[in-house]
This record gives sequence, structure tokens and C-alpha cells, in this order.
Amino acid sequence: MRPDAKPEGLRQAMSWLHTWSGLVLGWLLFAIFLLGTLSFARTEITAWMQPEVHGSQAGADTLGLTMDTLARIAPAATVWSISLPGPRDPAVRVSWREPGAAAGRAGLKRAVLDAGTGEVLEPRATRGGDFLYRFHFELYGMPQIWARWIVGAATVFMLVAIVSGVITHKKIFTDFFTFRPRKGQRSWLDGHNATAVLALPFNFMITFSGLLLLMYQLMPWPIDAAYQGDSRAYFAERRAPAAPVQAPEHDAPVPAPPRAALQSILEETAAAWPESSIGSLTVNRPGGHAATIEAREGQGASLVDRGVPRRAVFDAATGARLDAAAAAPPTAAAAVYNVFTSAHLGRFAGPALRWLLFLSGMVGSFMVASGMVLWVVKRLPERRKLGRTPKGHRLVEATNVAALAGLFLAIAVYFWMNRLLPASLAGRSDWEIRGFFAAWALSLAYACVRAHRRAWIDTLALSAGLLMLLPALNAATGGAALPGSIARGLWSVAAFDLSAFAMGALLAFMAFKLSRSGLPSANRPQRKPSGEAQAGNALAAGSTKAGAQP
Amino acid sequence: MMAWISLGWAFAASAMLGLSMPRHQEQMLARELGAPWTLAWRAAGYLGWGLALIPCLQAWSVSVAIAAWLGVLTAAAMALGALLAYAPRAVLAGAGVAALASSLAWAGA
Repeated sequence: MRPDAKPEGLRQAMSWLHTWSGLVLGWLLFAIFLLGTLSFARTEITAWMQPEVHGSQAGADTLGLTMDTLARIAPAATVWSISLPGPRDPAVRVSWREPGAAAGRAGLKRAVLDAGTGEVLEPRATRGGDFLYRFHFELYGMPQIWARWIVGAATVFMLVAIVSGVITHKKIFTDFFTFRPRKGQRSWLDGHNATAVLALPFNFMITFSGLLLLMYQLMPWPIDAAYQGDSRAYFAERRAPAAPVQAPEHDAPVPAPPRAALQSILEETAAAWPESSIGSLTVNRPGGHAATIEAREGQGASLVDRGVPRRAVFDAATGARLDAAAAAPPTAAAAVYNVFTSAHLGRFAGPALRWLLFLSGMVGSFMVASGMVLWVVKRLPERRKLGRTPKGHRLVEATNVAALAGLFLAIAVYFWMNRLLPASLAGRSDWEIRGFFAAWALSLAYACVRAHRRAWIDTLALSAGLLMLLPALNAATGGAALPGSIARGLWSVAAFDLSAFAMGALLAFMAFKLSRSGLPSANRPQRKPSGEAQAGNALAAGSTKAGAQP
Repeated sequence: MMAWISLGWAFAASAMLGLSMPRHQEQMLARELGAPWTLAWRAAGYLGWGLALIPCLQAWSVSVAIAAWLGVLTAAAMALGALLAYAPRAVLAGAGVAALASSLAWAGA
């Protein structure tokens, strides 16, 4: 409602809604978006953060060596699960269940193996990419259900902001590709609009599917009602595990599948799933004897049937394919759910699609960030008229520095802690995370005591330096160094190094642009605002490249 | 490979859509076009966006193809926006090259 009680148009109402719903949860949304975007590379990040596995190189006999090692370290286990090395992770990751172990994940024992030798590796303790991934939907250090409600609320706000933003700025569809640099607020608005509209399908998809993913946690009541509170029964039914396949009897039971059997399994799966091939295997070993092997494809070919990955069951002794009941096709509603959530999780994505998702996520993160900056830039004239900075504006400014630039610093420090803490330090994975939060908190403290512009420049420059040095740090602390990792085709590590450097270079460019524009700080009252001075203000307030072009 | 082909077509199509908008006509051609041309470019642009879906469908199943296609449209439109802001005169040539290169690559594939 307007204070003068005049009737308000739809666009004004939407503008109000957009501005304030955006501000309330924008900082959190930026973290969710940026860390969520990094989560598309979660496996690669974890691999980078374990330099001990960088030497692992898959060979023709990787699967056989893995079986040998498992037969040695887990001879009594009732089941072996093997995740084979691939372009995203050079190591073999195995888990097994000892007889009588607890149900669920708690009863699993895990190990990481060298793909070339089958030796057990001892990678440093780290949460790796999982920390960033977990933070983006359940934050940290608070009860999961609370965190998910908060993230869910932020997601709803995001949907509200997308819809109200489109209504407010309906001109964006006529000036579709417009970006006008060096125009202060105009540039920020252009950048905000362009990234919003151009990535609208992605933004909408990722937000809506994020809500779908949180739906079961936030609104369990329908399932509780239909399944009498047993939500596990619901998920078990949705996942529809196929009936166990009986292995034919053999006179001499084998502890591990022989090489010939493995060879025929590899050949058959390569022929059956040409574009995704084999990703993981499960060896069922009732009584400690290998009975059947279930192979699953590496990447699904379709979004619709996710949750029911293609699989094939083999006789562990001979490698002969056994008849397994085909999984039932998903219902229409389940298929829609699968399409959205799998797209969100990037589950199906090969390299090309994963990069597209990653870039779209970065564009979305920029949209959120530019909106936060715009809030400040838009209020500069008002502030100049006032001749001082209202406390609320100052609070938003300082929080912007910490929440936008400071998050990059926190991420960079997280990776540095990973390499600088001794590998054998007790509780080292917790220390990495403490480093992340300490850097974030320090950036807020710094933003509070320094001038707005100075704080932006310093935080950006420090984050840029730390990120650009990551490839050197990686090489110096036992990781696979850059030229070599490319030559070897170790793209999980090489792409991390290159992306970190590129990201750092981008931040450095912004810091450089900000420091170059020798214009008065936005905090001081200014002369008559010319176009140039406004551009300076935008730079002073800005974090990102849109307003910072020459 | 198909993702690149799709990207080339999507970029060219986005440029055609740009040619249907007065503001961007001014940027690319230094004059505004009449209604018939505007309409024609708009139709061509949307058609081109549709065409860009074809290589995706050849590379992936329908559901993945649509997700990839949306990503490609985003990347193409971002590239066009940047080019219009900093090198508007290069857009038409760039779009022509992109369309041609993608078509050749597609015909050869």
C-alpha cells in the first residue's frame, strides 16, 4: 500500500514485492545458488581435495585388481559395492557390509583404491565437495529440518522474485539482448534483467525442482497419511527395487568373480549401454561366496526413468547374463518429478551438459548478486539528497560485501585449508569447514570497519589471489600439477585448476576495474551526478563484471 | 559436437530475433526496419531456435535434449547480448559465420 493511499497498479505492487522479497533472502539465495552451482562439480571437487588419489590411473585390469583387494580386505562381507573410476574421479571407491552389520549406510565400510594397482589409498579426511553441496540445501550446524525449511522459504521467495520481476520489468522482452555498459544503475539493471531473462528457463527449472526436492522433507503429511507414518515404505516403493535374481548353483563356489567372468561382463555392458557404459557394480556374496553381480550404467540416457537406472545381472562365477525382471516404467507423475529433479541434480549430465548447467548456474548467481548490488545503487540518489548514509543502507552495503565477495573468499580459504592442514591432523575435515566460516565472518567484520568501496576491492582482490594460486598450491602439495594432468587426461583435477584460475581472474578483473575508477566513494555526498560519477557509484557498489566494463 | 552445432544455430537465430526488435535493428543496421521485415526476422528467429533443438535431439534422449537446448539458448543469448553491447557491427558477420559453420558441421556429421 502506498502511504498516500492512492490506488496502486499491479506493476508497482510487484516492484515492491520484488525489491523486498529479494532483499530479505537474497544473500542466502546467492550462497544457495553459487554453492549449488559448484555442486555440479561435486565429485571433481572431492577428487581435487584428495591429492592422494590423483596418481590413480585406470587400466585394463582395474576391475580384476579391485576384486583381488576386496577378497583380501573384506573376505567375509555379504556385499561388495564398487564405484569404478571415470572422467569425474580417478579412484576406485568401494564399500562393503560385514555379516551382521547394521542396516543402512551406518553398516557400510568404505575404502578408496588405486585404479592402476588395486592398492588401498589413504586419502586425507575431508568433506570435499559434499560440504558445499550439503550447505546449499541444509546449511550447517543446525537441525536439518530447520535448515531445510529456511532454504525452502528462500526458494519460494526466489520463485516469487522471478515471477514478480518478470511482471515489473516487462520491457525486458522487447529489449531482449540489451546491455548498456558504463551507465551506472542502468547498467546494473540491464545486467540483472539480461541474466534473469536469458537464463529464465534454467532459473525457473532449478528453483522449481529445488522445491520439489525439498517437498518430501517439508510436507511429509500426504505420505504419512497414506503410509501410516512409514515414509521409508513410500520411498522403497517409489524406487521399486527389482526382485533379487537367483544365481545358478555351482559345485565350487568362488570368493571373487574370476577374470574371464569380469571380461565378459565388461564387454556385454559396453555393448548394451554404448553411450554411458558401466558405472558401478554390486557383488552379492551370501555366506562370503560371490553369487551374482549387478552392474549399473554410468550415466542415465534419459531424465524420465531416473531413479530406475538401467542394470544388468550376471552370474558371478561365469559372467553369464541372468534374466532380471525389467523395472516397471515410471508413472506419468513420477516421470515429471524425475525430469525436474534429475535436471536439478545434474544426474544424467555428460560433460557438455554439465558445463551448460554450470554456466547457467553462474549466470543465475550473477543475477542474484546484481539484484543485491542494485538495491544499493538504486538508493544512492536518495542518499545524496539526504547527505548521509542511513544505518539500514550501510547494513545492506556491508552485508553485500560479505555475502557476495566474502563467499568467494570463504570458498578459496576452504580449498587452501585442505592443502595446508597436515594430512594426519585429528578432526581435519572439521577444521577445513571452520576455516570456511572464519573467512566468511572475517569478511563481514572487515566490511563493517572499512569504507564500502575499499572493502569490495580488498575482499575481491584477496579472493582472486587465493583462487588464482590454487593450481600452484595443488602442484606444491602433492596434487597432479597442471600440464601433466592435462597430458594424462585427468580432467577432474585439470578442470578444477583451470576453473579456479579463471574464476580468480574474473574476480581480479572486477577488483582492478573498481580500483581504477578514481572517483569519490559512494559513501560521501557528491557533486551533481553526471553520467560518469554515476558509473563510479555503480562500480563502487558493484561486485561483478556487468557494470565494470571499460 | 552436436552441442556446438546447436549453439551456432541458436546464436544465429538469436541475432535474427534481434533484427526484429527496433532497438537492436538500430544497433546492427544503423536504421530501423519496416513491419514486414521485422515480422519476417521474428519468424525466422523463432524457427532458428526450434532448429537448434534438432542436433540436441540427435545427441540425447528427448528429456536431456530439452535441458541441453535451454542451456544452449541461454549461452547463445548471453553471447549475443555481450556482442551487441561491445561490438554491434560484428554481430551480423558473426551470426553468418556461426550459421554456416554449424550447417557445414551438421551436414558433415
